[in-house]
Amino acid sequence: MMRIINEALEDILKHRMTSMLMVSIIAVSVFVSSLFLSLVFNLDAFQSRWSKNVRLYVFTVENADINLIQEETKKITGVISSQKYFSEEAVDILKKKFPGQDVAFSSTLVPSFIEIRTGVNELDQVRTALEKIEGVEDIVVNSAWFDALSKLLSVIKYVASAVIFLLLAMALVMIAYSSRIGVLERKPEISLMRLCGATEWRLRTPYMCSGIILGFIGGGLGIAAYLLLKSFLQGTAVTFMSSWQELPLLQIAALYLCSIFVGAVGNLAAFFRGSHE
Amino acid sequence: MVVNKDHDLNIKKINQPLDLCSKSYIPNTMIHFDSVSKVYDTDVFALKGIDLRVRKGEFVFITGTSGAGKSTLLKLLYGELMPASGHVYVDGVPVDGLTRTRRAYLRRQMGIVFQDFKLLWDRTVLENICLPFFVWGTRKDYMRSVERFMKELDIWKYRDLYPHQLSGGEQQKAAICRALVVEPWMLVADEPTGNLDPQSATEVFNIFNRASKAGATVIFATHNEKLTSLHSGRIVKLEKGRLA
Repeated sequence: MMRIINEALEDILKHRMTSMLMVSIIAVSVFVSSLFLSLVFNLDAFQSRWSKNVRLYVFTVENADINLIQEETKKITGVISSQKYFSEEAVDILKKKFPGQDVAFSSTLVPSFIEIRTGVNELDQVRTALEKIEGVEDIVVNSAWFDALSKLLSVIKYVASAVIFLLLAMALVMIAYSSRIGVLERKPEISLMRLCGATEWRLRTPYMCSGIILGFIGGGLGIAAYLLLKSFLQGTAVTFMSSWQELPLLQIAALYLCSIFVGAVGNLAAFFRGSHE
Repeated sequence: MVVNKDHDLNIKKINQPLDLCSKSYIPNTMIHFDSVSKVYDTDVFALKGIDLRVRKGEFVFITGTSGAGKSTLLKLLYGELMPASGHVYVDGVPVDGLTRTRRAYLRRQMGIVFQDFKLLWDRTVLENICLPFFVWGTRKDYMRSVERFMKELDIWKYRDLYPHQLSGGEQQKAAICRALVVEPWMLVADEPTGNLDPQSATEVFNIFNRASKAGATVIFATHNEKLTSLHSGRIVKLEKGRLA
C-alpha cells in the first residue's frame, strides 16, 4: 500500500502543474458548492421557521364570550399562540396604521377576533377543532402567501441543488480531461507494465490514490475558503448574516467526501480513456 | 538459471481449470497454435492458418524475413494481440479466452524480450530490470537474483545509468535481463540479438540456452541464420504469414 501511495505522490509531484490545476478545479467547485449548499440549508431553515407562523383569524358571533373561546382555542393541539383583539383595540391599531382616516373606522365595522398562530402541518386539524367551538362564526386563514413562498423557495432549492450537482460533474469532467494528459504521457509505461504482468487493479490504484489525494487537498482548500468567507462576513456584521446558519458538520463532511470522490473518479476515468486509446 | 518452481501454483492463479479431456490440452505441450489467423486490415493477413505445437522445455527458433509474421506470432502468444480466427493455448489455457487479470497472471510466467526493448527512459537500468517485481508488488528479496543476472550480462556497472546513456547493445542486454530475472517457465524473445555484436550475441544466446536446459520453453524469433546453427533447437520458418 505504501508503494502505491509513493507512486501516487511521485506522479503528483512529477505533473505539478496538472496537479495544481486539478486541486484548483476541485477547490473552486467545492467552494462554490458550499455556498449553494449553505443557501439550500438556510432556505430550509427559513421555510421551517415560517411554516410555524401561519395565522388564523377567528371571528365570533355577537354577544359571545370571547375570553371563554380564547381559553378553548388554547387547549387545541397544534396551536402555538392565541391572542384576542376586541373591536376597540382593532380600531386603534387601524387608526395608527392609517392616520388621517379615523372617520372610516368605527367599532361597529370592525368585530372582535382571536388571532391564532399554528404550524402549516397542523393547519387543517386546528381549523376543524376551531369550527367545533361554540360561538365561532367565521375562520379566515391567510396561508396563500405561505404557499407562494414555499413554491418559490422550492424552486430556488432545486436550482441550487442542480448547480451543486453540475459544478461537481463539471469538476469531474475537467479533471478527467486534464489528468488524461498525464496518462497519455505514461501510456508506454502502462502498456509495458501490462506486458510485465500488472493487473488492471494494480495499474488503476495509483491513479485512484492520486485522485483521492488531490480531492482531499482541493476539497480541504474549498471548505477552508468557505469557512473563511463566512467568518469574514460575520466579522463585518453584515445584517442578514446574523441569522445565517452554519452548515452542519455532516453536510461539510459530505461535501468533502464528494470532492474526494470527484478526484478519484475523474482520475480513473482519465486512466480508462487514456490507457485504452 | 533456475526456472520458476511455482509453476503449478501460478497456473492455479491463472484460475483456468485445465480440462484434460479437451481437444486443446495435449500432454507435454506448452504452446499450441490451433489454425490461427491474424488480419491487420480488412484483407491483409499477417498470419494465416498457423498450426504449431511446442513441447515443454523445447527451444524453438522462429525465422523468416521482415514482415513474415514473427512478431505477430509472439504477440499472440503473450496476448498483446488476439487472433482473428483459431486459438492460442499456453499450457492448455486459451490465451484469447482469458480475462485481463488472468492474462496478467499468465504473463507473470513469461519472460518477454521486445524487439524495441521497451525500456523506460526516466528510470535507471536497475529500476527497469526490477520493473516486473515492482508491478507484481512482490515482497521477496529479488535483488540477489537481479545482481547475478546483471553481472552475467555484464551490465551491473550500468545499474545507476539511464537507458539513453547506454549503447543499443547494452540497452538490449538490459531488456533481456528484465525478461530473465523473473526466472520464467517460458521465454519469448523477439530478435533479442539484433543489436548485439557477434560475441555478445553468442553470450546472450548461451543464457537462453541454459534457460532451456533448466526446463524453460524458449521461443526465439530471429532472422539471423547463423544463430540457429548454434543450437539443435527446432526451426520454424514463416513466409508471408504461413508456415514454410
